[in-house]
Amino acid sequence: MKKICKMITYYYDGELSEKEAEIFKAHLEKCENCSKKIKDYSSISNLIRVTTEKLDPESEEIIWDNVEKILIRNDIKEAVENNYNFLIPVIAAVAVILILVLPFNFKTKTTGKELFADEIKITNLKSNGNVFIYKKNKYVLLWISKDEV
Amino acid sequence: MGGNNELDFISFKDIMKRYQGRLFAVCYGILQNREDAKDALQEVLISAFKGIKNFRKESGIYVWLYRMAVNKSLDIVRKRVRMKRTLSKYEERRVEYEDDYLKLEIKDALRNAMESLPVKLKAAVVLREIENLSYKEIAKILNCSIGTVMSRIYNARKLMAKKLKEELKNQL
Repeated sequence: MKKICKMITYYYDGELSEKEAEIFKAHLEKCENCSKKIKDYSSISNLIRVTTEKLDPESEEIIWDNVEKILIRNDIKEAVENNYNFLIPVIAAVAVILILVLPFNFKTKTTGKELFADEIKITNLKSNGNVFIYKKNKYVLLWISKDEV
Repeated sequence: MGGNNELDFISFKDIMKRYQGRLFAVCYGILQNREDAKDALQEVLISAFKGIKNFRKESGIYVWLYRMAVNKSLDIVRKRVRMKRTLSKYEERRVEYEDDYLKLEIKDALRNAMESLPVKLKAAVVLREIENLSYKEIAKILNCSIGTVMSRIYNARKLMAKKLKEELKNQL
């Protein structure tokens, strides 16, 4: 392709200087290929412009309603997250403490020592399993085991 | 939205009303589907409201908004490619039933030609053809050089001309 032919897009889109555009215009009269391309470009431009759709007032209203609803929902979500975020480490700390402390409140049968729990109930399940229920004060601990007692 | 946010939203809506029509046109140009274009515009408005406080004035609000419209639309194009949403195509045909038959065929041909373009070429040609933006403005929006914009538009037109000739030859 000739160097000047490569300028066709710049020419068509009005990106050339006045002088450059004049030179290209003179070239167009001689170059059949470039003239054909300009016609193609013009058809494409017309086609795109003719078939472009506009935003109608009804759709506009629906879109803004949705935008407002979504933003309100996000606002509420953020507010809830901000207000309760501090609870996450608190809950985690309480859970860790409970996990560490609770086992010491109970003693299982395997230790052979005196049991501190108020009540123990062991039920032999039909399918090789046992359910242990330990109760002390307000705490109840359930232990399900596959082993035989 | 309460208090200041509500006031912010009203002012934001006033500003966006100036741009929404043009943003919709860009989304429609890229997506060639009315419902998808409405979804893209909705997402642009939500992102714009959330991001307007951090918006850097030196880039110009239209560059910022067009960039969002292009990106949201291209996201939908990529999703659509993955999902192969042929169903929506038939649904839209039904909606447009009362349109002039010839216009419908031309629209279909254009849609197919547009869909055949790689996403980057699509964005450049839509900003040029629909919004009549200069190469410099398009380069800012697409974050590339003027030379790249020119080559994308050149290639897009070349591919579209070829595709449209095939499509319209078969259908008319």
